[in-house]
Amino acid sequence: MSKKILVIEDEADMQELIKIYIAKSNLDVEIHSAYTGEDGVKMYKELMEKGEKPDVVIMDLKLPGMDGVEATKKIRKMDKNANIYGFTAFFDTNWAEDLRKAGARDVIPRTVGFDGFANRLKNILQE
Amino acid sequence: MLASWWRQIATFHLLFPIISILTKQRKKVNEQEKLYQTLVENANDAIYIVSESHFEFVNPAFEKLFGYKKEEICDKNFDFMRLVAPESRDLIKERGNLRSKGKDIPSRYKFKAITKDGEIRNVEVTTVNIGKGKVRVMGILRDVTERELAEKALAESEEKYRNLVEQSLDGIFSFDFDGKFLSVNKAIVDGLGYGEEELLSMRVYDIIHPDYIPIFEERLKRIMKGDAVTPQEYVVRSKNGKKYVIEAKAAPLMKEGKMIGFHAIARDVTERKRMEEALRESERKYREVTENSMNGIYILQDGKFKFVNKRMTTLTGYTKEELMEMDPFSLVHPDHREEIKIITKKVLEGDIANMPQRMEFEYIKKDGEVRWAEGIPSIIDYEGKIAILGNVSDITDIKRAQEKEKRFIEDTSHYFFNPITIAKGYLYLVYEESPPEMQEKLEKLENAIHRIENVVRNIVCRGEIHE
Repeated sequence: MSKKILVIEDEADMQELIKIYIAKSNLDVEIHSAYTGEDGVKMYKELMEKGEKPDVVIMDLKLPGMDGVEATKKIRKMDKNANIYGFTAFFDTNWAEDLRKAGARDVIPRTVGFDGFANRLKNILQE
Repeated sequence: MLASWWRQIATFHLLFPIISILTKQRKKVNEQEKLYQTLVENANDAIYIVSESHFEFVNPAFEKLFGYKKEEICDKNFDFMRLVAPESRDLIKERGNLRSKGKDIPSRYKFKAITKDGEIRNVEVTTVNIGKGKVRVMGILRDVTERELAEKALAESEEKYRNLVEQSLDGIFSFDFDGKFLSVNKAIVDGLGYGEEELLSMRVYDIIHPDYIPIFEERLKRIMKGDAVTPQEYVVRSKNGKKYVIEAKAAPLMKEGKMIGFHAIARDVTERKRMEEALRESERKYREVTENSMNGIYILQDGKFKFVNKRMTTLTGYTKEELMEMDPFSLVHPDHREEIKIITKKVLEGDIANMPQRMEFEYIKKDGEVRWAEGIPSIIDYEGKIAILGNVSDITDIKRAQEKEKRFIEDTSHYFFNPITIAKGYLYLVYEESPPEMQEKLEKLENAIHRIENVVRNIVCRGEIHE
């Protein structure tokens, strides 16, 4: 049974590249995309209610409207076991630290590239 | 016959006045005897007559003093030494010997008597020899036990008082209406550096500072009027010219019910005054530093401000009075209020280990403006109880600058790293599908993107512009 991943990212190119590299890695995953924090929270809730809770949430920090920290807090409030990982350019800032404090298990810097990201995701799904 | 009749007449006229005089004299003698008898019988002093070592007569006071009946004492077999305590018997015997040898002995003496109950009493006796050629002595004996005890107690009390005065660390002295010293104790002598004799030839006015003479005299006038006066500070000069501050209180000096001057007690308070002055100076400095501090300073105890400085009023917009009355936590923004309340409660309950070294929180001014503050708390003892001494500064400008910087970093990251990441993502996809000659060019492109990435990272993370 394929794993479910919710990617909350406002840039369409980023969403596309994440999908391409995950596909390249031969990971058996079902990807759901949300382009705002609000949509991401809503989508997580809907999937949860359907009994299809995402196994991993990939969270950007800077989002239009509700930012990644706030969205993380809301999802964690709904599901304290939510597996949220930041994938952000703000890897070395207080904001990234805020994301960890809000409940993200880790923050993956974008500097690792998409191959690096796909490898990290593979490890996370195997944990 | 006629002659005999005239003789009888003449005899009657001659004898009648003589008989009449004798009768009157006899009557007078009887009256005097009765008077003496009454005096002796009712006298408080014990009166006795001793003849040849035995008592002829004792009065009721004598019986009462010794506890024997008159009949017992006046019995010929009663040994008068039974009335003399063992320690005085030699004295009495010696007096008896000397008296029997016709030698002069003091008519007044003291000895220790012993009563029938065995109680020892101190007695004072005045004797007079009333025998004509033989030893017959009349004595008046007074029990002076109580008097001597009282005298002894008085002497002891005087000794105690004298010692107290002499050993007192306070100066104790007296002076007459002209200010002349009548007595001085050791503390005065030591304190002023004059000899006792020297001081006793001086006047209070010789040592008191001229500025204090008016108040000194005003005080003496009040004492003379019978007013109660409180201790007063004076400046006095010692022999070597050094000035001392003393606190003194005077009272009337009485002799035989008449006021003859003043006695006074004085304490050297120079050091205390110096410390009070130092404390006042320290408090003044502290107040100046606190009041002019750029930071708000407060003392928090029992849920109330116990002290706020001037800066607290400018920070909050409330007056000191308003701050002292209000709930201090109402100044804290609701987002931080509960957390600060809990920390404060724990700290005041003694959980000092978890006291934060500094806290950042938002506060609300009287006009509703919300600003940021940094608080540095510390624990103090205030009026015997644990309290928080807070030092707060407004960090709104710093916070705004930090926010601005954060936004800059975020924007920089967003606008640079995202395109770079996307560019690299697509580049690698193209690279894998490109022929080798194209890959070489793409590698150069990747290297250029990598350099840009390094520069941006150094700007964002380190504030430095280099690769």
